[in-house]
Amino acid sequence: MHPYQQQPDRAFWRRAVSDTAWRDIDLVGTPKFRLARDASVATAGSCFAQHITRHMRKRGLQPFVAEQAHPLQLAAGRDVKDYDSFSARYGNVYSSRQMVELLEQALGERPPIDDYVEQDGRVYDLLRPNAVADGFDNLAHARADRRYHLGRVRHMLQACDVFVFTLGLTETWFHAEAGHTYPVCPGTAKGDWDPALHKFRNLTHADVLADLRRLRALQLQANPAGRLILTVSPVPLVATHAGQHVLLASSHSKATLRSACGEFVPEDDGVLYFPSFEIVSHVASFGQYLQGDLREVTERGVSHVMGCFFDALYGEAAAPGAAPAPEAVAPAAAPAIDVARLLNAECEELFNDVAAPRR
Amino acid sequence: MIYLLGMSHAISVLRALTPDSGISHQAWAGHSAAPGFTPVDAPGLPGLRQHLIPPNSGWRAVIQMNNGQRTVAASPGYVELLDHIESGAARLISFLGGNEHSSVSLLADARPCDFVWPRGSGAPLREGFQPLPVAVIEAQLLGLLQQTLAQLMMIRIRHPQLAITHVLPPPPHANEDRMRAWPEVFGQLLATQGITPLDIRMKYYGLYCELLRAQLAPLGISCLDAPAAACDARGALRDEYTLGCTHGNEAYGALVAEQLRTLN
Repeated sequence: MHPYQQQPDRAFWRRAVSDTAWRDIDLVGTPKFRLARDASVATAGSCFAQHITRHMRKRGLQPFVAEQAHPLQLAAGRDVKDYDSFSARYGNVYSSRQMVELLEQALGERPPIDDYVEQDGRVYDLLRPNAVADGFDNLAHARADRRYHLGRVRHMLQACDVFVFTLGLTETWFHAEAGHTYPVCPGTAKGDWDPALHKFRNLTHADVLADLRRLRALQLQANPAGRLILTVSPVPLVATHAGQHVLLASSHSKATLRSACGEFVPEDDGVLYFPSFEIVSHVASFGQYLQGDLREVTERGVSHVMGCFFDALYGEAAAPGAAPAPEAVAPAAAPAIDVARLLNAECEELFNDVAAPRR
Repeated sequence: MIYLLGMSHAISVLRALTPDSGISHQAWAGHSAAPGFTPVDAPGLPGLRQHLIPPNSGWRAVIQMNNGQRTVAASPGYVELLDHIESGAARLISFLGGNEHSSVSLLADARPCDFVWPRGSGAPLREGFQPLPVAVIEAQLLGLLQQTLAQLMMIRIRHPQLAITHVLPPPPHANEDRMRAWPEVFGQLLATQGITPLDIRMKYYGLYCELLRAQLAPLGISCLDAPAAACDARGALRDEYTLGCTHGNEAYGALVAEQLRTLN
C-alpha cells in the first residue's frame, strides 16, 4: 500500500500522457470554477492573450470591453484597432510588475505615471507605445487619455466577473528615478534608451509571487466577487538582456512565471491556472504547434489551447454553434446625429463620410 | 447695393435694423422662398436688400444623397437668387448656416468626449470624457459645413469680384436655465439628455469658426467675428444678448448691425 495507488489516472505519466493523443489530453480536469456563458470576462497580458478575445468572439461569446473607440472616431474613418485586442486600451502587458502598477494607478493607489516622449510632432505614451501607435496630438491630450484609460481600467476591474491575465516574461525595464515599469525598453518602440535612466530588471520568483498576490488584492479591492485566471504565454522571448542564450533566458523566464503561478494559485479558491504554456510548449507536444521560427504559435496550436480553455471553463455553453454570436455591441450613437436631422434646414449630416483630415 | 443673405441668425440683425418689419424667428418658417431680394431701409447701410432662406426650402441641398449616391443638385431657386445680385454690388453679407457646431455639441452625449483645442484656454480636459484627436472633431464639423461652404462657393463662382463677408454665429450661451426655457429644435432632449459643459461647447465653437475662416479665406471671403461686447470673460454670449438656446436676440443683432456699418 502506498499513496500513489489512490491517485487517478491523470496522475500517472504513462496513463495520462504516453498512451493519450496530445489532442485528447485533459490538462485541466475539474476546474475550481466554471464560467457562465454571459460571464463578464476581461483579458490582459502578453501578445498571446489577444487570442482569448478573438476566440471568444468566434464562439459567440462577448468579451468584456471597458474601453472602446468613440463613434466619432469610427465615423471619421480612424484606425481604431488599438481598441480591439483587450478589454481596455493598454496594449500588451508582458510582466506582472507592469500589471500591478497599472491597477494601482487605476484604483488610485499611486498617481498616474507621466512618461511621454515627443517624436515627429506627436506625443507617445511610453507605457503604451504600441497600444496607441499613432500617439497623441500633444502632451495635454496624452495626459487626458491616460487619465481616461485608467478610469476605464478601474471600471473593468469593478465590473468584470473574471479577469484573465497572461504572464509573458520576467525581463523588464524600469525608470531608475520614478521606479515605474515599461512594457518594452524605451527606444525599441518609441523614444530613446537612456542608460542612466532606463534600467534592466529580471523579476525573480519572489518578485512575481508578490506581484500576483498584490494583483489579486487589488482585484478584490475593486470587486470582492471577482475571479482571476492566470496563464503563461507559450511564446518565447524575442530577445534577452540577461546575458545568456535567448533559449536559456526564455526557459528561465517561463519557469519563473510558471513556478510563481504554481505557488500562488492554491492559496486562493478564486484563482485558477490555465495551462496554455504546457499545451504548446511542453516537449511532449513534439513542437507541433510552433511556426517555422520555432517561436510563434500556429493557428492550429492556438485553436487547441482555446478549445481546451472553453471546454474546461464553459463546457457545452461555449461549444461551437452552441448559440448564435451576439450582435456586435454598437457604440452608443451620438445623439448629435438626431439633432442634425432636426436641424436639417441648417445642418446636414449628409457629409459625415467626408474624408477626415489626417494628423 | 449691399445684399444680406441668411437664415435664422440673420433675423436678430434684421429685427434690429427694421423693428417694424414683422420678421421673427417664429415667422421664419413661413417666409417666402421665392428668388429675389427685399429692400431694407436701414440707417447706415444704404441700398441694403435682404433674403431670408426659410427652413426646409430645399435651397440648402447643394448636394444630395440618392440611394447612397452623392449627387450635385443645387436648387434652381438658389441659383436663380444669385442672378438677382447685381454686378457691381458693394458687398454680400452672409448669415448662411451657423448652427452646425450646436447640432453636435449642445446636447450632452451618452459617450461624452473632449479634445484639446490648441487655441483654447488650456484648461484640463473633463474627467471621464473620452479625449479625442482634434482632427476627429474637425472631420465632424467639416462634414456638417459642406452645405454652407458649397453655397458660399457658388456665390463666389457666380460673382468673382463681389466682396463677401460671412458673419460668424454668436458664441454658445452660458446660462443653462435660460437655454432650457427656450430649447428651440432641441425640445425635450435638452431636459432629458442634458447640456454639454460650456468649456467643451466653447471649444467646438472656436474650432468651428477657425475652420470656416480657413476654408473661406482662399475664396476671398472674410469672416466677421461675434461682437466682443456681447461676450463674457469666457467668450460665451452674455445673458442679455441671448435668444433661445443658440441665437442672439435683437440687442445682439444691433451690435452686429453696428459692425456691418463699419465694414470697409
